[in-house]
This record gives sequence, structure tokens and C-alpha cells, in this order.
Amino acid sequence: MFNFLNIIFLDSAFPAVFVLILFALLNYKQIPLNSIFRFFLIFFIITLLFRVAFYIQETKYNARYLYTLTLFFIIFSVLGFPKLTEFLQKYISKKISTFTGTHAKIFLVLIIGISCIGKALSQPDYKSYIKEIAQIIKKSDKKAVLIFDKTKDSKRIAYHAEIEYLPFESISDKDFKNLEHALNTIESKKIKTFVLVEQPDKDFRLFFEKKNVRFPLKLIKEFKEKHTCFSLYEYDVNYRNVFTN
Amino acid sequence: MRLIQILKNIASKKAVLLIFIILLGIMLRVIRALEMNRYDVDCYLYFNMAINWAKYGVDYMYTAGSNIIPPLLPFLMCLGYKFGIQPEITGTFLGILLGSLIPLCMFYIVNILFKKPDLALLAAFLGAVHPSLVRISVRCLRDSLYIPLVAVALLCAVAAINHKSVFKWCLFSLTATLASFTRYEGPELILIFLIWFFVEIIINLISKFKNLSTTNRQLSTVANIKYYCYSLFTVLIIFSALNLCMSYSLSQTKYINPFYQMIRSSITPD
Repeated sequence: MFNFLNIIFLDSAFPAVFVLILFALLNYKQIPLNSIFRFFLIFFIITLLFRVAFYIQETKYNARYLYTLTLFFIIFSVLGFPKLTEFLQKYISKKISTFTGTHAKIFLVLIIGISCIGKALSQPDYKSYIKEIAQIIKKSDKKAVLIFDKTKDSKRIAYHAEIEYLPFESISDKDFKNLEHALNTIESKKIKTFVLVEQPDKDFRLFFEKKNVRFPLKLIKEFKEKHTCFSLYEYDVNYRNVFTN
Repeated sequence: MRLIQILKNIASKKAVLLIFIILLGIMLRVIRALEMNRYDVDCYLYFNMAINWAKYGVDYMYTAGSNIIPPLLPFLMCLGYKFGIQPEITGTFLGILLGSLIPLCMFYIVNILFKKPDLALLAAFLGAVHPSLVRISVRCLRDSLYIPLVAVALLCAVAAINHKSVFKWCLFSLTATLASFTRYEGPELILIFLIWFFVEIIINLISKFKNLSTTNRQLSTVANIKYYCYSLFTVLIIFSALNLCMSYSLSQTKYINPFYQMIRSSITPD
């Protein structure tokens, strides 16, 4: 439940808006108790109930399910603005005598705007290797197949390269049957096969050296991001039965 | 000093400021869209659905192993693909276009609710710069259509309650139906309307019994109840008719409309 409240505080209502909501609660006398307000109250209760029900059911919860509540928060946080400007003006005018109400308003709008825009435009996670790998594959052959040990990025690469893909579970220390199985499913010798693993080239070769098996892949390129390293191989058709021999 | 005068003149005109705020919202979303270099994993599902639909027809939209989602976003992406536009570009464009409607909706809702244009402008500003709304607009997801549609539906509902017009409830129903075609949570808007309807009827009846002597109020409550009933019928008829049409046209695919399923299970005995 802590995670749920965390999402509401940080994402659904941004902290800058949350402060306004707290001051809006002080200004509750301004809320008109007409049928429009009743509609919004029902909207808030029903959407919150639905989201809580989803949260209890689902194991993987996305923050974006709660963004519908943002509309409600924005509409009612507005009431806190006059109260907050009053408070600011009282506090600051003790030290700076020329600080008036309009100054307080401009000051507040600037603070809210800068904090919101800063969060909105902060740098997203950068994964440049997705399009690089896709372009390398796209140049070579259109009917290629990609074999990949992490299903999340294989979908992305396969879509941008416009090819098929075949995921397999990552290799353990004991054996590499998963990779062998995946390679054997591609029967036709004409199809080009690419293999992508989330490991440096050296570590991946060690598996094969331990078992005294000839390495059946040809390295194309290594991609290094912040904490991860990807290596892209091409499967050589001449070594097709290397596992069985 | 002259510049300050000009700025004061601009600030006194609410419409000009509102246009500036909407432009700010569009600009932020476009900058964010240029910053993004990758899409969520779910997006690729929708892209593949749209391409399958455009290439092979509706029946091949839901391929094996894919989630079965309501079809509005894949449909729009498919339309774009048929004109030669990539699905990701269509999704981003639609997100920016609909996301820039949020400030406008916020402005009118707050203006009607609190009757203070200054606060309404602040609400429009918050709608334009709120980080989660800006970010969700360009992520090519179903939510980037769903949240603006909910905002428009809320605006229609507020305007309908304020002006007591049945036509605006029709618009509410239409946007709620479109929202239910984007996400399975969509029908919650209709549920909210139904609960609101019963609450209003009860409040009107209580006020009627309290003031039996005053004839004017009685007349107004009867008119109110009549108006609520009209709006209930229009909303339900438009919602159910559009849902039935959609589920009939997609009956060959794996998609099952929950509303249609509910009606069919209630009609046919086990």
C-alpha cells in the first residue's frame, strides 16, 4: 500500500500540486456544494476504488493507471492558490517590505512552472543500441532471424529491423541447451541468423571453452552502455552441427 | 515602462493568455516527443496489431499470444499506416493533439465550477505543464488517448449539468464510449453517471417532501426529475448502441466487448 500512496504523491499529484491541495483543504468554504461538485466527488471515489482493486489484483502495477486522478487533483488544487499567496506574502513582507500580492502570485507561478517543466523534460533512459543493431541487421538481409536472451528488447529490435525474432532463456553455467535448441529450430540454411546476448564477448566464449566446444558464432560488434554490455554475433552455417559432434 | 503596459494589457485579456498556455502545452509535448528515442514494450504490440490489420484485415489483428485490447488505438494507427505513415508517428501525433485539449478542458471546468477566471487560467497552466500528463502524451500508449477523452467527457458533463441540456449529455456519452473503446476502464464514466443520477433523484425527492407547501419548488423538482430521466435514456441508448455496433463488426475476431457479453449472458438462460 505504501507503493500506491507513493505513486499518488509523486506521479499522479506532483509534489508542487500536492502542496496546493493541502492549502485547498484549508480553503474548503469556497467549494460550492452543488450537483457539479457531487459529480466530481463520485468521479474521484469510483476511480480510486477501481484503481485500488486493480492494485490488489495485479502483481505488476504501472504508475500510469493512476493518471486519471490527476485531472481531479488539478481542478481542486486551484483553490489553494489564493491561500498560499496570502501565506507567502505575510511571511516575506516581514523581511522585504515592498513584496506585494502580485509579486507573490508571479513568484508562485514561476516556482510551480519551473519544477513541473523540469520534471517533464528530464532526460529519459537512453538505449542507443536498439536502433544501431536494427540498422546493422536491416542492411544485411531482410529475411533474417534474431535470437535474443532478453525478450524485452528483442521485440523492439525486431520491430525496427522488420524481421522475426526468437527469444530464449539466458545461459546458465552448466549448459547451453537453450541456445542450442533455439539454433536447431532454424532449419533452412539460407536464412541468416543473428544472436544477441547481454554479456561481454570474453565471458560468453568461456562457456564454450569450458566444455571444449568450438565456438559456432562470428562476432560482429560489442555495444557498451552504462552498466550493460551487449554483443552481436552472426551464426555461421558451416558449424551447424557443432553441438552434436 | 511601455513594455510593462503592453504585458499588463495582455494579462488582462484571458483569451490571449489561454492561447499562450495551450501553445506552451503543445510546445512542451513536442520537445518531449523529440527527446524520446524508444517506446514502451506495450507499444510494439499495438504497432504490430495496426500493421497486421492494414496488411491482412481485421480478423488477423489479434495474433497468437497477444493481449486482446479494445481496438480504437490500433484502428487509428492502421488508418495512418494505410496512408503511408508509420504507427509510432501516428500515435505520437494523436497524443500531442489530444493532450493539448487538456488545458482547454481544465479552463472551462474550473470556470464553471468556481466562477473565477483567474483560477481557471491557473488550472489550464497546470494542465499544460503537469509532468505526468506531458510525459504520457508522447508515449504512444492507450492512456495518451484515454486521459484527454476523460477530460473532454468531464467537461461535457459539467456543461450539461450547468446548462441543463440533454444534447451535452449526448456528447458526454459519445466521449465515454470512445474512452471505453480505448481501455477496459472506460465504462466507469457511465457508472459514475448512473450513481450521480440516483443521488440527484434522491436529493430532489427529499427537497420535495421537505417543502410541500411551496408550489414553485415542487414544479421545479418535477422538471428536474424529468430532465434527469431524459438524460439517462439518451446516455444509455447512445452508449449501448455504439457498443453493440462495434462488437457486431468485430464479432469474427477474438475481441469480446464486456458490455455486449453482459447483455448476452443476461438474455440467454443457462
